[in-house]
Amino acid sequence: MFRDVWTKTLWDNRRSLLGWAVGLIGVTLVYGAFYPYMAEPGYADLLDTLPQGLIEAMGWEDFTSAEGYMGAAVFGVLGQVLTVVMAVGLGARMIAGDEETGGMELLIAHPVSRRRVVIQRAVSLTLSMALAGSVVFLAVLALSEPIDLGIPVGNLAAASFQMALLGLVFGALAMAVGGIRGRRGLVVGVTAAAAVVAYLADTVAPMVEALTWIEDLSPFDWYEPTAILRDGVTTGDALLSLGVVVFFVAVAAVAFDRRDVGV
Amino acid sequence: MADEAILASRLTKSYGPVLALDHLDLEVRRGEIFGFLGPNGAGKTTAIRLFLDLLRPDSGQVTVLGLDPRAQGVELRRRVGYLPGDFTVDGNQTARQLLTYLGNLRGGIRRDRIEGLAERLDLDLDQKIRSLSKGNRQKVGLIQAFMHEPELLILDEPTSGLDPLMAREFLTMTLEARAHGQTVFMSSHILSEVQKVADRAGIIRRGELIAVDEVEALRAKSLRRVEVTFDEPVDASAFADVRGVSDLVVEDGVLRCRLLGEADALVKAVARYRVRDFISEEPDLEELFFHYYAEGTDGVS
Repeated sequence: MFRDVWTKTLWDNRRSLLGWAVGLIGVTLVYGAFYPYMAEPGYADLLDTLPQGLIEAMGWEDFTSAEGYMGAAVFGVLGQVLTVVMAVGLGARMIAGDEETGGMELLIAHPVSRRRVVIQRAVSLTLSMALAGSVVFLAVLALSEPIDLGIPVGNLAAASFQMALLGLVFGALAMAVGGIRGRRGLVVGVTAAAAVVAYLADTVAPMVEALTWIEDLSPFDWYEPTAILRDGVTTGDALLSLGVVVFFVAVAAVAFDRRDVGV
Repeated sequence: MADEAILASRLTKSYGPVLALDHLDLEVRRGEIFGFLGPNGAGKTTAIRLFLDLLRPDSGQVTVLGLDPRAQGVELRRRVGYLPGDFTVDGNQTARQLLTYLGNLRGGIRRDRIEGLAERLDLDLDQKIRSLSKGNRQKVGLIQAFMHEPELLILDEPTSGLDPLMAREFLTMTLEARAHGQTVFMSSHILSEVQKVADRAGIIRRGELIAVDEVEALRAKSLRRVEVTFDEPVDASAFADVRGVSDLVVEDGVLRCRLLGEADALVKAVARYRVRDFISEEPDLEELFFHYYAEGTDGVS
């Protein structure tokens, strides 16, 4: 059986993980399967009638190329939302949720330090998001040939990886908030609000000249799926995201170590 | 090695404006069974959670097995078995899976040890925890506290949810633990059970420890109910001033009262009449507890 907190946590979340994996595979296959229809000329004409701002906000600038379509559909809004929601749900459960249901009290009454619990839970969250990225990658890979996608396998992997990483940033934020306050509802609320603000900062703020700098602060800006599908992993963005994840986990560990648990 | 299993000094903890623990001084000796008594909300659970570093005190000190819960928490918790007052875990696993995992966090527990305890407490280890009754879940909690034979058992309301037969089995387990040199610290508001096994008991009220003594000594100081049936009419006024008597009622030739301490004065007063029956109930901590509790709240004894 399980010897460590992180393996046990993965096992405890198995149903949820299975559900997310099935959902992500389903969305990927359904959206991906539509690509051949998008490549037909009619859609390009339709897109021309839409306002430029909306097209940029939705990432539809290049909807008829393989990279543009996959970057806007599978790896775009829907994939991002699913990944972020999954990560926030898991991240909120890692500390605050477990604390509210009473499991955390029993766990930290055992000979494990709180920091170790947080770090092991972060490992578990990371592996969960790696699973999410992997199933999306495998689903796209399976489609690649039948729909004649023509995107290099490495770039598909890079986009899957960086989408999972985007989710992980917000999952780690949920852990940080949970480390500070052990209320699951509060954690989900704060993290969801942060995700919405970050999303708007990446999509709406650039439309206003004076606000373009805000875009750079948004984790959504560090993930540009169409560019990744075309040119491969954006190393700087990925490292920045990883750094933020490490920072949030550190905040979670330090804050959780300092406060009362289960009050 | 410290002589005390738990040594708390002026331990204070509040939740916002609510003072949960008010300068608690407590000494639990190694090898004893100590009963920690008080009503719900008196601060028992708060104190216990401070011992285990689940909470941090506002002020005051505590050492458990000579260790500082904050700085040496991992080492401390390795040597302690803890039953939370509200034992809740993910129900989507069997008792065996949970206990094996918790045992692994302690470096592994022999399988037959877990099975032996389960057999004693009549628990089916292979049922999902969610399908277990409250009493059976409590047994899972007891097994995880006892299974690694810790030096110190800290048990918050251990008998809650157990049927009388299992509660008795649990008390036997605490006696065996003491015989092995383990220390048992158990909180309860079911006082008669603590009385059966505890060497000493402390009574906590509104975050303050209001009495600590040998269980026997506490009993000697305690109130007992007395009922005397006379063969002739008697007047209540004849007993109103008798030393130790309170809550006096006389009707239809039957006297009922509470008696504090020595019975001599009452016996002599009663002896002036023809007595058909004299019943003095065994004093118990239940009575004692209400006595202290009433004394503390309105200043009368």
